[in-house]
Order: sequence, then C-alpha cells, then structure tokens
Amino acid sequence: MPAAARDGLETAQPLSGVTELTIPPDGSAAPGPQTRLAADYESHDDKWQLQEKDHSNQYAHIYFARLQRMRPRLVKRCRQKWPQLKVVSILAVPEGVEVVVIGTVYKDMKLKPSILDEYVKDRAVGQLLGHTRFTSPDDTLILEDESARMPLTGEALQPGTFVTGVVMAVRGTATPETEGFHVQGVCFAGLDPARPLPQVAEDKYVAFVSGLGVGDEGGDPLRLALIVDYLTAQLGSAAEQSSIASKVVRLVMAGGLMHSTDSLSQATTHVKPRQQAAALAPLRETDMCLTELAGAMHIDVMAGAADPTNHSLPQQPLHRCLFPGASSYPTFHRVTNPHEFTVDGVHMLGTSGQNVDDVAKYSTEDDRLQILDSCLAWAHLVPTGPDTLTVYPFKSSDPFVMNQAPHVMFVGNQPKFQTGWYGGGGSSRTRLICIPKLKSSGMLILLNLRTLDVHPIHFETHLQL
Amino acid sequence: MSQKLSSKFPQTKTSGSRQGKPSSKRQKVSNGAVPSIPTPAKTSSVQPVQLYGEEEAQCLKQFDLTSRFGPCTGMSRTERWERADKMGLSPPLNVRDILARMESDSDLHHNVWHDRV
Repeated sequence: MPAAARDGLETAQPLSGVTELTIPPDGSAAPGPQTRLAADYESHDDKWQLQEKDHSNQYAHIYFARLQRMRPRLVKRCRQKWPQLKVVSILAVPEGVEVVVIGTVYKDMKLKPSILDEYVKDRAVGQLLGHTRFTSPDDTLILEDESARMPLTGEALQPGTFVTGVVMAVRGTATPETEGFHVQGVCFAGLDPARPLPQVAEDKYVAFVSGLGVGDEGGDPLRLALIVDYLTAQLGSAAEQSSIASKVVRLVMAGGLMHSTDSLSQATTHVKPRQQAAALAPLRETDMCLTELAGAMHIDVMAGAADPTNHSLPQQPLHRCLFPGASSYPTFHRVTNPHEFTVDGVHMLGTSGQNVDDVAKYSTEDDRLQILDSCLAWAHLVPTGPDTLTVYPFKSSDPFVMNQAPHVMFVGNQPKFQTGWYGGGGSSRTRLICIPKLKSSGMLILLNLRTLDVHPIHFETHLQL
Repeated sequence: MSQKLSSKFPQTKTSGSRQGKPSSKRQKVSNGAVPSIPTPAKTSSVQPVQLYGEEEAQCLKQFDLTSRFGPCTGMSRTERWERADKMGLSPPLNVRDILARMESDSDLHHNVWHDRV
C-alpha cells in the first residue's frame, strides 16, 4: 500500500481533485482587527441523543427496523429498474421463475472472529496470521428477511465488497439444480438526491480536523499549536488572515482528541497525586487548546473511538467536566458521533471513522472513499453495526438509515486525505471527505460552503531543507 | 420385574417414595380439611381475569408469534403493537383493544417469552 504509507511531506505535493488555497501577498488588506464571518447553524443530532440507556435488548430489533424502513424504498427502486418482475419474500420464492427478493445480507466468513473460537483450540490464531482483514476468497453471502434465509450464488455476485447488514434487492431464480438463489442482478436502496445547494454570495469555510492524539509522547504538539494559531488568525500574513482565517465560520473535530485513555482508567484509590496529575495532563492540554479555539470561533467536538465516552455508536457527547475551560464558552459544542448539522443551509453528516474502518476490515475494498460511496449507495451510515461494530440496541428504529443525501459527508481518523463526489452531476452531488489523522498527516481541511471545494492545509514542523 | 428394577436402583426408588409420600399426604390433608373455603377465594381472585379469557390470551400469543410484526423479546405487547403500527404493518386492532382494556399490572402485557429468555 504505497499510497497509505506515504508520510506527511509527500502528501503535501499537489493532490488530484483539489485546488491549492493560496493568497497573493498584496498590501491592500486592511491592517487592524478583523471580524470573523458568522453563519446560521442548526444541529440535527436529536435522533442520536440517547433518551434511555437500556442495554438489555437483543439486536434482532434493529435489523428488523432496518429492513422495514428500507423495504418500501427498495420496492420502489425495483419497480423502476425491473418493472416486469415480482417482489416476493424468501419463503414464497417459486422454483424456476425469475423474481426479486429483498432482504438483509449476512456475509459468511470463515476468518471472522467468533467468541466461540477460544473453544476450538487449533483455529483462531493460525488462520489469522498474515491477514490484515477478515475476508477470504470463499466468503459467501446469505440473504435474510423476517421469514427465512437463503444462500446467494451466481457469477454476477462478488461477495468481497459486500458486508453483513446491507439491505438490498436481488433478482434471480431458485432452481432445484442450483443450491440457493442464483443471482442475476443486485439493487441498492440509494438516496434521494440532495437539496440544491443554497446560493451564497461570499466564500465561507468550515474547517475539519481529526485524530489530534493529544498526549502521544511520540507526537508533535507544535502542529496542533500552529493550527490553533492559524484558525485564530495569529499566523500568516494580513491578507491570509482577512481572506481565509476570518472566513472560517466553524471548526468540526471529527473524533480522536486523546491519544489514549489508558492512564485515565487506572485504579484511583491508591494513585499518588503526581501520577494523577500526569494522567490528567493530556486532558488539560486538550482543554487549553479547545479553550483557545472556542474563544475565537464555534467548535463542534465529536467523540472518537479512544475518547472518554461510551464506546458504542452513537457516541454521546463528551462530558463537560472533562473540559472545564472550554465548556464555559457558548461557542463550544459537545456533539454526538455521528454528527449531522446544517451551516448556512449546507447539510453535513459525518462520523469519527469507526463505520468506514469497520467496513474496511470485513470487505475487500481498500479505498476509503469507495467505502464511503458504498455506504451512501446502501443508504446506511453504519452497515456493519451491530454485527461487528458496537451499536446501541435500538428497539423501534434504526437511526443510521439515511433518506436523503447530505451535501457533505465526512469521515474522520482516516489513513490519508481523500475527497470526491457521490451521485449524479449538477448541484445535487454529495461531497465526500476523508479527514486524515492530524498526528500523522498534519492536515487541516477547509471546505468552501459556496462551492463545496475542499482545500487541505498542511502544517509541517520538520523542515527538510 | 418391578422389584428387580427397584432393587437395581435403590436410590431412585427411595427418592421417588420420598417425593410421593408427602405430596400424597398433602393432597389428603387438603382434600379432607379445606374442601370448601379455598375454592370461593380462588374464584374471587380469578374474576377480573375472566374478562380476558382463554380466547384473548390465545389472540395475544398469536400476535407475539407473528414474525411479520418483528421480534417480540424485550418489549411489552403494547410497545410492539405501536412499533408495528408506526411502521405501517397494520397489526390487528383487536389486540390493541384487549391490551387497552386490561389493567396495567396484568401479566398479559408481557410477551410470551417474558422471564423465559
């Protein structure tokens, strides 16, 4: 994987699909105080705010709710795509007649870790040696609905790129000779196209950053300090400050604030004050940096996989006590992961990366942008949850099913920066952004709300002259 | 034959006889001493349940076991009915009526697997 292994400086070379955000050093910019632009903001996180915390439920409910919610859309799409075919349930599949069946995919993987593996002595470890993911060439797909399950066969179907939990429609035939359902075509739910992008007269930016990794001894705290200075307009020329920094209306931190919470989770009864202070140092450092940012602009802080909040998705906002300094600012917003909001009418949706990382483990797809694209095609934000990614056991709904494409879909903590488009041309496209980890890439990403252009800004502290 | 078997398995025989004896005694006692008093008490406690007889209980059980309305574990029958209704699956109206008529502490609000799985 040469692309993923590239380090910071090399990625600073011109990237395809993005334009460099450079400002000519002209003397016309007015010196003196600048005013930061404001933008309308609306949060749509209420469906991910857990009202009750009852973890006693089984996960059958969430799969049922997912299938129910997606079936009408799939039926509609199948009628458009294959108008001559009948949609039936699995138990009602006739022999030798071509039909359409709608159901949830289960991917049967022999390398998938199972809790029962520890009782089978010679398996588990040996098979996983040398693997970076849990896929193997003989993985098969099984389709389930409320009534039954059936194996899917046929050359038209490549099991590799599918994952468990995807709801889809398949067309094909069941014959006595072929075992299972011989698939001839697949149809995904897809999304309603995004609303037309609002017309804005001037450039405004939303900044994205993720994977700060504060407290990592091998990390580089200077990068974060530079980013804070850049966003608070204490860095760069006056022209740069007035034409970029003052137009950044919001900063979104897509998870990964802390390097690790191991030191925080040690036993507290016999800890010496000095140890305690050392354990809290990364948290204090994060709070200082967030305080400085919150003093200058609105910031949305999402929790990531290693941050001190609940582990299962949707992750609830980090507790305000963790950030005593920043919490005193009304511009400091602790938000859920996933996070959905609109800024000046631009609809954005994103996660801290667990959903895409988990699909990457259980699918043969390497390209994170392609996985993001697939999630939108499957109309599901967290397809592998609750199977391999922990998800709260919702009873009567699956809040991760998507209806309408957002204008921007972002995902944090990715190995490298990538951006692209999803969906048809024109104004109803969705901008996809993979935000790299700051600690490995040193990258801040600015999104132009007027054009949806993405501009990575690179902060490098080691000058290799 | 029976003697032979019992001599082979003396333990089972003794335990069987132990269990058998007191129970038969109890029955005898209950039959002899209190034949009339407990029966009216029983019927009085049963009376409100009679409103929802075997037929209603069967109807609710049938609703639980209809997979079309989704899994039934971990939620009350009313919750499940409302979920199915919200999803547009048109669950049977008489189930809702039975549940609405029932007092709130009735066991019939719980699904058929309640306390079993």
